[in-house]
Amino acid sequence: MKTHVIVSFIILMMIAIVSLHTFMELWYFISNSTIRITPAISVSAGEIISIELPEIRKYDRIYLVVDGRVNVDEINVTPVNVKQLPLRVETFEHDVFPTLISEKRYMFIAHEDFEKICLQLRLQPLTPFVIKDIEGLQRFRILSECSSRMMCVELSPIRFNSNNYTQIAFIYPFRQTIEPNFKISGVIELVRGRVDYINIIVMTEKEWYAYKVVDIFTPPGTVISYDIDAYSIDLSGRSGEFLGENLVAIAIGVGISNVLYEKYSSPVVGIGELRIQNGDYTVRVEPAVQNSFTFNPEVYVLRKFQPSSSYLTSIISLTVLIVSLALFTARVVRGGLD
Amino acid sequence: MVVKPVSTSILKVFEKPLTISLFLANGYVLTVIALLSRLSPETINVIPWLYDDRYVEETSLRYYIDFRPGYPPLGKLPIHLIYLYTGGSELAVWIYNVLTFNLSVVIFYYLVESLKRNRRSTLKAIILFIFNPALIIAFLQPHADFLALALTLTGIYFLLRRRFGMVALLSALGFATKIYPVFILVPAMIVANNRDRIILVTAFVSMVWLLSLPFVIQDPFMYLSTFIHHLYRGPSESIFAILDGYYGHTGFVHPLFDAAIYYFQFTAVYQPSHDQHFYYAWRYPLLKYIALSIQLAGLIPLFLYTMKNWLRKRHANNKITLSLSILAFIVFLSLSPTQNILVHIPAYALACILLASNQDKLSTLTLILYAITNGLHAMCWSLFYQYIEHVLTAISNLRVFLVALIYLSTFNLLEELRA
Repeated sequence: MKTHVIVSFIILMMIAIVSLHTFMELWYFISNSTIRITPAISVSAGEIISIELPEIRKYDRIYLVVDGRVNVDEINVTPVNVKQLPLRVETFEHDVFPTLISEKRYMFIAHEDFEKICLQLRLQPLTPFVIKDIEGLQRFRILSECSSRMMCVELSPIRFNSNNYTQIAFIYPFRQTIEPNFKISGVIELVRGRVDYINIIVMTEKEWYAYKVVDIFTPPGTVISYDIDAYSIDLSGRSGEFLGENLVAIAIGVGISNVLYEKYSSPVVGIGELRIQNGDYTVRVEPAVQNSFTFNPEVYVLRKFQPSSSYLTSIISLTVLIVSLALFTARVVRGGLD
Repeated sequence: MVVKPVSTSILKVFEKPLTISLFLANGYVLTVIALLSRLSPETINVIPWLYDDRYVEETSLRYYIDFRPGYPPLGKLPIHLIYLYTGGSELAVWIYNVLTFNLSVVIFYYLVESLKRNRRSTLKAIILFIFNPALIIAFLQPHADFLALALTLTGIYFLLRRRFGMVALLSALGFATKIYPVFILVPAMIVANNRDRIILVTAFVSMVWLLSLPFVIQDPFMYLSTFIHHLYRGPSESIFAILDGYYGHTGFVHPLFDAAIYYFQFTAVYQPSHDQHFYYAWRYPLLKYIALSIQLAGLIPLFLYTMKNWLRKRHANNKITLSLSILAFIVFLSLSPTQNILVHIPAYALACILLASNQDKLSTLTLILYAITNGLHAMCWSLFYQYIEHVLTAISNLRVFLVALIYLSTFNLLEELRA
């Protein structure tokens, strides 16, 4: 019996030593696996900027977080064998989830080792709104020459949702509890073409309340003023239900169906001043776009674990030791070695 | 002359309780699904739930090496292989679901038959088990719930026969399917003698290690991230809510944008916020303390019973230990992720095993109330979505009441067992 205990103890000690060695190796990887770069770059809209990254190994991830008001027109990594990974895994459009509403994220995966690698971006002008897709996918172009009192955007749907619609939202993050005197007002112009709808959306933590201000029959050139308060009736027939809820953002959602897009091509929408009143607080969102601004992205290089020969040896040793211990104890317990 | 014996033998098959059970189970499920397909055809489309399978196929990422799915390998890979080799056939996923469901019914039947005194109480337990509305949700959301349940029930079956090697094997398989079946090790460790405990531990550890080896050898971090994520999404309303103050990844509305990176890297690229938790929970801040207190209370009877036996140097009774462990486990699961109906598949099945043999009406009433609560819970996301905050709060309160009823019924059962 004493021999069995000694043998088991020796195997256990060996398991502990190999485990410790493996743990140290893994801990070293954890402490060196995330590199964060935060450059501050002066940019002009339309020009290509480059962010140089450290050495990249196969399957490392490059992760970029930018302010939501920054409009990334093109993004890629050179050399080319680095693929963008879509961040939308599930159908739910997580981009507009409260925590993520005021930022944009991009991720890439490298398919080979690179000594030198560059993240290249071309940015559109900076806007006061976070422009994000709610349904489907649209390419947008901010037109600076349109009007001094409007922010004009040309919209071109790329992918329609299963309901044949695509919707892009101009979001103004605004965090407050909705008071009884809550009011939103502003101006919108359908500059060119037609859209299926333009809705003003009150996004709270609990629900979205959409109010239609432009419909499919609105002709181009129409300027629409809107006022929304607790008495306004939303598309679901609700009135004042948002009172007391925690506001996340005010959004202007522009919807285009594939049928309409085939007929009228890319529409241009002008967004004028947006005024929000809530309690004692009043905010005016000027539709000004900035062609030159400072860009402050957060770039992460996230290392992918590559098993080293030492790691593989440790794992194989651990496997042999664990299985040996199991077989040995099974034999001892059944009296095989007595 | 030939027809009569054939028809007689067919009728004889239908006289067998197992056949009746399977007939009832499949009849009930198929009827509900057929009704659902009429009333709301989009709900019976299971393929949208396989979004991660679609994602890894489109991006050429590998499960557990480049991408962490929501479940351990035995839970996820069979469905993933079906998805890959049938081109995302809905029928194939349904067939897999039906097969694993039937497997769980068969094992439930044999387990209950070995526990119950007569055919009538066996059938009563089977009927109560089958009419759990949460089962329908498991069909609509293919997440390996039936396989995990089948492994749990088989583990209990062998535990009652004191076959500890098999218990260790099934706990390990269960752990590699949906983690929770590992709970069988608790009663097994209590009732086993020292030699059997050694078998249990070594067999369990070596099985889990061997099952994990293909993934651990390639990327231990991505493999571990699967378990960390699963645990954080599991007991989200109690332990983790207190540990991290509702900051964990637990209630995040499935963006999965962290799935292609390691958990510790995700914490570097993402600033946690209360917003990611389901809104009803952080409007009901007492829930986490109430849930954890009751979960701890659920452990007390098992703890006291084990301590009493240990102090008196007596062997623990198999059935009493199992009953008290099941009680603790049901309480833990019922008050963990309040928003998730799927945890009530194992919890309710175990409640049936625990209570269906009881002769008192309270046990049957408790199970019926449990099934009704599950029905309400199953419908709440679609029917009462506008009032979800209130409905889920009401369901949380109902669960607390149910736990009290299960306690009462279990103690009635223990009196019977002692007698």
